[in-house]
Amino acid sequence: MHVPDVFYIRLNGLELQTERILDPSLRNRPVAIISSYDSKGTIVSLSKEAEDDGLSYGMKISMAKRISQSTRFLPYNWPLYSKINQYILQTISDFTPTIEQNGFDGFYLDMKGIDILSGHIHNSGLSIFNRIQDKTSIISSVGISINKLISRTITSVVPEKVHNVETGLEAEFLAPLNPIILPVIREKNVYRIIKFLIIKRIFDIQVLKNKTENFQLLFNKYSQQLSRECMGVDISAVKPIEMQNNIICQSIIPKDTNDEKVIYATIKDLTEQIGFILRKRKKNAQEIKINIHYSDGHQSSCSGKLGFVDDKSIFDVLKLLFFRANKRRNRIRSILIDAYKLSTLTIQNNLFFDDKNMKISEVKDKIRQKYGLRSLHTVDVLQILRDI
Amino acid sequence: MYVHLNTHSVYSAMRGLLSLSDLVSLAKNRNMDTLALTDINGLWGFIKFVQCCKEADIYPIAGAHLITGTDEAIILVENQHGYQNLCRLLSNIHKQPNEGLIVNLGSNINGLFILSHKLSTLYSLKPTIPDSHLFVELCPGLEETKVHSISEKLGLEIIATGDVYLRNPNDHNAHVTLRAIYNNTTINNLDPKEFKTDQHWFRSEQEMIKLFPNSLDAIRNSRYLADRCKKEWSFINTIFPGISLQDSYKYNQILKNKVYSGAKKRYKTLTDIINHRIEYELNLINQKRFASYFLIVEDIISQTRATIGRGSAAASIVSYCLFITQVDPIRYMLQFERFIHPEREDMPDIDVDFPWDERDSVLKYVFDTYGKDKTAMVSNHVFLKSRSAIREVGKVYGLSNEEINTITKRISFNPTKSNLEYLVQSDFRFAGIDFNDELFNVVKYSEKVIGALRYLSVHPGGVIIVPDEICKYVPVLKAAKGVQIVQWEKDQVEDSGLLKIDLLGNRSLAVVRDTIRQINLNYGESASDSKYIDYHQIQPVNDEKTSQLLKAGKTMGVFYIESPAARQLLAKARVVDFKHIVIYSSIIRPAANHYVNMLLDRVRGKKWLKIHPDLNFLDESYGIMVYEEQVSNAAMVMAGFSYSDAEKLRKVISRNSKASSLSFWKNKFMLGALHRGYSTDIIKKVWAMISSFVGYAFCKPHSASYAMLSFTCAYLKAHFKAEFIASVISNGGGYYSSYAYMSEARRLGIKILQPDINLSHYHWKGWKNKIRMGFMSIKKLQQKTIEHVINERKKKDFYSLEDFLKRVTIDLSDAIVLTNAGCFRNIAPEMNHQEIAYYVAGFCVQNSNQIFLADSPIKNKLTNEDKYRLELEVFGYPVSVHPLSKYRPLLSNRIKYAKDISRFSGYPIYLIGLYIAHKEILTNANRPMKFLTLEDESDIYECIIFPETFRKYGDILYWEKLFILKGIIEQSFGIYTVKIEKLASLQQWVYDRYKKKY
Repeated sequence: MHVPDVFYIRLNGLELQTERILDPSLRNRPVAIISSYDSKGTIVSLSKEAEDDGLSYGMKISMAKRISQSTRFLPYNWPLYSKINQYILQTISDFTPTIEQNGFDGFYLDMKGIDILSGHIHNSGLSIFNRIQDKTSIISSVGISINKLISRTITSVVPEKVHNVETGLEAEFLAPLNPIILPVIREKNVYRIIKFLIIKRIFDIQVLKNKTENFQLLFNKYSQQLSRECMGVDISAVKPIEMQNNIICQSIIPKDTNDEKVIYATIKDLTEQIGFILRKRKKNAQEIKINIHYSDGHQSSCSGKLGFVDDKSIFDVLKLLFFRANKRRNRIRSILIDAYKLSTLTIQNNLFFDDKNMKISEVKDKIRQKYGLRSLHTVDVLQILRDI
Repeated sequence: MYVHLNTHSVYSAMRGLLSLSDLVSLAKNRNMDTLALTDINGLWGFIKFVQCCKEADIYPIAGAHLITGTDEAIILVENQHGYQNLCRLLSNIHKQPNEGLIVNLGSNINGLFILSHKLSTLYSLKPTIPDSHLFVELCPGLEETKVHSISEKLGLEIIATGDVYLRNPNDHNAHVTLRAIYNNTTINNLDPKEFKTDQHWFRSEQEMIKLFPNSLDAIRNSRYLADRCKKEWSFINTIFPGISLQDSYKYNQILKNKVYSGAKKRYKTLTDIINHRIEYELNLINQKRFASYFLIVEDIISQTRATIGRGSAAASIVSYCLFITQVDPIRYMLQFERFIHPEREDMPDIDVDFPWDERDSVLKYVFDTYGKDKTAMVSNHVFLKSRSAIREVGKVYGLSNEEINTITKRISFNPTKSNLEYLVQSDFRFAGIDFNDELFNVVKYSEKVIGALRYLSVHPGGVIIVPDEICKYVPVLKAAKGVQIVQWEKDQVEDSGLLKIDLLGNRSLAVVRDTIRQINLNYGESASDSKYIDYHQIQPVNDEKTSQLLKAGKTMGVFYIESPAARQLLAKARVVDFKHIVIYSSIIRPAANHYVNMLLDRVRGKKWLKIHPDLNFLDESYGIMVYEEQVSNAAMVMAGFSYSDAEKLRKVISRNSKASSLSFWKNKFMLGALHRGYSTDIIKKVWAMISSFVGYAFCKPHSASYAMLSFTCAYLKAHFKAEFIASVISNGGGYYSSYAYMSEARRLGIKILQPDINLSHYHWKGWKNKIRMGFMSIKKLQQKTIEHVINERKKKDFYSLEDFLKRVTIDLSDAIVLTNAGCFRNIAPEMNHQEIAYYVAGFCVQNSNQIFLADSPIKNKLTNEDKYRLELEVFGYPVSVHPLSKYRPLLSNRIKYAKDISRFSGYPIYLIGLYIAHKEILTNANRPMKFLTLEDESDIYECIIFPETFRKYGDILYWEKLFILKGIIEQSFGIYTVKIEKLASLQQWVYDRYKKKY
């Protein structure tokens, strides 16, 4: 029987834990991390004490302040959390080289053969838990199973610090849970049917699945995926960063704004990050998407094709995509760039391609490789970032 | 002396910042005796401009700043003919905005002076316009030398203009903000071509000389040109949709015949009093040649049955006999002179209400019958007010709706330009907002743009019909809705002498119509217990059941007297005959709270003394001034006003005119009354009553007319409650939400039945003690699906779910909402909700290759929580359970029910409540307080939150709907209210105790 060897490490409320580590006076008192330095926007993380005061995730700050006078509201300190995240990544790298980052507060670990090396897998989970706690004081939870879906689900529903689901018991484990945890439920058409049928347990989907033809009709192209997921089947592999087929960069603008100068500077900054990573990995992205997050929680996105990977070409494409995506006057809080469908970078000799821009980009890359990604900014970006 | 010939007021939409009075006082302060108003492409505020100028002793010049696709020019009016041509030109420009000026002018060039700084415009006009009427404009931003060379080249004189948009350069930011709002962009991203520089402010002659030191001739020319323009304006003569003299006799005869024929229907027997009154009125109508006007109105109202004439026209027996109005002026002692007085110069409007959903077809009839060239609707000028200003400016500065709402929700009245900034800094209601620099700037700029014209909309019902060509009197344009409108709003239309007929939509008339329809369907002539009724035959006054309903104040849904204040007044007064309902309808005004209590005392028998024997016309209303004609009477009797002055005072008061006008009339009244020997005390008392009418005044005939509709509604509610409330909800309700009316139905013992695929109609339907919800109550259900279902059902009822799905092709979204609304329960009684949903979903997604097998493998039953959620989703409110009922088991017995509050008079109790309605007012000390209407599972109840409590707990009212409260029960005139001492969110309170969200 296949041994459960996919681990998921969830860093519960990483932001909050980080703040409390740095400022012990925050322990035992209600704390909420808010999405912007501007002290506006929404709650992105909050302590149990703040929750007891009536606050909740996503709550507008204006309302939260009215509800709880005692809660301490802290702005989102992205650089700090990022550093902690990287430190934890380094820590768990000691256990396996195959780590896939999932968002800001989660990691998948491929621990093949760990049972042979260190005995029972539960102990390995405990070791990881303890190591993270020792090195960073961050409390995590570890889910262990044969695949990513179950491991991740464990950490969101089981309160224990380490828990594993034995191979073959995945469907049983999922049966009483709410279908909302299945990734395919995010698809609008699937969600609509599940909601319409008032299905509150995955068990009901497992029952529905037995009537194969009806199941296919109801969920159409998603039926196979749903059929697999409801039984706890997930065949996706743990992909280390360098194997991931997309690159995501996000910038949270220090002060919400709708000033195009600031926004274009931010896009330029992101362009240089994406360009640097693409060129470093010798990849080209066939498509690129810009995702705008407004201060009121709305989002807008637009995607397009990327021809060349020099900074100027990427910036021109992103500027155009931004123009198409930004149809509102609301202030923008953050911009996310997702370069995907990566292919190997092959620069052919092209009579119409002026490689001057590429050469400039390559020169910048050399400096960045030596002194770090953030060591170099263009004047306009630097000026705007400094001004705000 | 320099004359400004190019100035823009707030009527230059989203450009100008100066109000007309600002503009005129700027001119006055700079000793200018003449001023031209040249708003962009219109005469939007011209009548008011003339009035302002007259008050300030300044000569007004009519003009416009024309901007077409290719040209830009200033047009000034030389004479009356020129004015007519300008109106035609402006109308043309709105019809074909991309055409050049010369095309739009056509042959209408006489009497117009044209100034332009655009070379291409001047070139195109030069061959057509004589040199004496065409000028080169020198305005800020242009180089003098360039303008001089154009002048030399074309051989035209130069006129210097200020091209005024701003009071001073400091207003420039506000101007830019307006342009950003107009262009739907942000301040940072606004194209500089879209706004003027900070040079476009109102300069004195010296400042103009400083600006154009080399163009003194051009500055002097402004005076020469101004002197050649038309400066005397008068709008006394009514522009009447009249007929020639020779036809007058014919129309008088037709009117007479129609009136007598109608009188026979109305009165059956014509007494001497009736005959005498008819003859008196006809005589006056004939003298003033108004017969055709009455015939036009009669023709329009004949298009539908349920109408009600309002305003002073209800005092006319002619109107009553023509079925324009519904109140017998003899029986209810309404004086015809309030409508047409021998001394009255202008013609009063006849206003008629139609069922709201029939108004459009009536308007179409008017346009089709009287022709588009002679007919147009009155426009509404929508200005930026405090809330809209903050909303628009907030968007320009990128604020989210949430942030904007934090401010706008707290503004319950309209702060003026001068106090918005102060208000948000000083008022405790804004204390909970985090004001950073950005938010504060938004408030600051909002304050500056308050009063700017945002856009024109269509007046709900004002129609103008003229005898010949409408665009010779006023420019017309097409509103976004597609209807032709004039550039003036109702006050300017009235003051210009144009005759307006108000054809307004009224929801209660539709309620009455629909209730009667339902009654006649349920109990028609063929029914064994036939209760067939006719709108014109209902006799609601003196009906016992109706009186009982009115006395109990159970008037939710009853036209005009359903607000909490009116319901309480009725219940407290307990005298509810027609005369008193007319008084109550008139006295519930924002500034008359004090008099309401005084009236209650007197109605309930408290002795009162006349203010003065001369004021015996107040006796009918217990010595309290209630009707606006009493204002005129008081002015004539006490201060010796002439009829026309008294009418002016009435208009000033009812229109809420500016403070300076009011103080002028106050002084005149005081001096006149003092002169006639009245004591200061009496004069003050009477003026206090007069000033309680400001902005909100009714004449007695109007109130009587509305009271009749109130009685009709009350009669229908008393006798046919289910049909009545179903019609109220079907017509979109009134003062309250649909949910509140549904609760009222339950309190009256009516069962609410959820929609059913075989039994529901589009509208809600009532019968005996049941109301069946209509398909219209289902959110997101497409109109075409409803029509499809109803049409298919006409053939045969659906006998099973399969039958329905086979006969009606609907998409999955509609199928989902119909299922969730419970429409299929009766045709699939053997299946539970989940099984029906499975069947329906499968049927909708199957195709010709794959057939769905119906039997559901999952058969869970709906929990109460599921039902509640589905109802909220589908209808927007719970139907099968009260929103508070799930909290009740969690609460102790100390939390009482609303039905029991009378047992706790004088004691503090705890209650829970669901928000129904609220009203915020300011106390005499200018402190906000609130009246709140709540309900629990047992009854509806009224609360009052005094300023101190409001300051402590009021914030929660902006974002919560379910409350727990502690309050003292107070009793006044036998009616109980809760004086709230503490208020909290029920959900939060429960969460704090049980750590569980409900």
